[in-house]
Amino acid sequence: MSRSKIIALIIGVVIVVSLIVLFFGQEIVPPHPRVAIITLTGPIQGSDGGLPFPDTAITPELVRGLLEQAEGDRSIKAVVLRIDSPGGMIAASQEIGDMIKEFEKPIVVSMGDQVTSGGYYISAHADMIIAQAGTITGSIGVIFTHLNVDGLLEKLGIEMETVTGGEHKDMFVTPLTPERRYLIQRITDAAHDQFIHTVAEGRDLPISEVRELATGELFIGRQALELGLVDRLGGRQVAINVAAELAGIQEWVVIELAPPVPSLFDLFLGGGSILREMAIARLLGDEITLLRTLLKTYSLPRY
Amino acid sequence: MEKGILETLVGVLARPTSTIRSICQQRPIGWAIIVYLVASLVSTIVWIETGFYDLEGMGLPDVGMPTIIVGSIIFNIVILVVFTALSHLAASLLGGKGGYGGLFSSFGFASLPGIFVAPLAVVGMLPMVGALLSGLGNFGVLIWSLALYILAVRENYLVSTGRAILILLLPTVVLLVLSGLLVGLLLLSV
Repeated sequence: MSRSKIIALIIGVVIVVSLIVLFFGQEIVPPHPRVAIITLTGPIQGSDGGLPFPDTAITPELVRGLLEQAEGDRSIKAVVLRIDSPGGMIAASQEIGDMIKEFEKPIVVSMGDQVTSGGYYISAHADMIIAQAGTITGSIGVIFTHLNVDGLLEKLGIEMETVTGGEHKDMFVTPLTPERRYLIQRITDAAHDQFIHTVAEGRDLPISEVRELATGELFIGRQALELGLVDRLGGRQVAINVAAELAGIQEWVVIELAPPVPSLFDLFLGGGSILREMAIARLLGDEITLLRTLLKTYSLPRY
Repeated sequence: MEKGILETLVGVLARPTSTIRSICQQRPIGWAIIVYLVASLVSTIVWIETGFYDLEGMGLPDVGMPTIIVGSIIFNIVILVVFTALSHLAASLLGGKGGYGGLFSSFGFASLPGIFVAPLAVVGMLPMVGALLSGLGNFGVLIWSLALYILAVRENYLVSTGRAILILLLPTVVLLVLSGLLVGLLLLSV
């Protein structure tokens, strides 16, 4: 056999063996344990409205994708959620909270500057919460801002007449009557109660104790530690160490799990994309765009 | 081919100048397509296995490995045909004298170093230094392939190395400018 043939044969064998190792490598050689960092920043919303800046909102879809990625990767032994959020929509917070509760690997929250309200709600089911001494957290409460946009509508020359099937179908869009205020208060109280139960369950605290804290009050990290709302003070590195400890690993590699890259269509023309928003603003004008934003932002009670 | 295919393959890696020159003259288009497809196939499989082709992550439907492989083969062949044509056009404009078949064949063989992404991906699985070594290795493979592409142009059109680089840059720049114009027009139209 000539020298060239021997070299070609060796190269061929190396390539084939490499492909086999790539296919079955994880079964043959267990991968090095990893701790994944997932960064969640911004308000909590049902869907993101900020492309091409998809990480400006925390959505159930975003969190689901990242947690599924972490759960599906056998080398990832624990997850650190690096959160910075003022809170947001109730159902979206609950959906994300449930995902964290059901996540099967150790999961540790590392709080950034502000993790309040819905941000705290989604943190409550983590195995551990680490905050900085100066992190602003708490705000366990519900807020509903009723907007009276009559003045803006009048300015825009828009007259609305509403026909409803059901006495209170328009309860969120007309000036509040005492009766409707009571109905909205009832919804708000129910959502507040759900928040309290979640914190009590997630943090293993008596409901009566959480109820005393759940005044909507803000706490600084050190206070939150004393009140049992967080487990330890520290930053990202402390959270990584705690996560690794919970996973029972001595050595690990840290990786960042990034949100998925939006498709070109989503980037330029999808819902919430900057081009689409610019086009809407140009078509509707500034004032109607403001009205649209107000109604979208303040139409429902929020954590 | 005067030499056997195995000798030519080893020649591309070990004695690139004389081997590429010989390929430009003999134009083994069939073998060039096979080599190019094998190298593309290896890269595609490696990218799938290492998560580079994360279609769901890119907001696209996950169509499965066979579809990705077939799609990638078709796409790569189209790219080879179009890029060779654009390079041939650029070479003609810059005074190069040589045939399309010679360039196509040598481009096909020039993709051969791409097969080394497979062992490099295995190296990347090693803890701690694996990613660094694999990254450096992949960069080396990229430079190696680029050098072979430049050699292919130089030997096919009998031009200087500088002119060969210019010939390869022209189609790349044209494609980038056209893409930029397209995006610019899209932005202005809103």
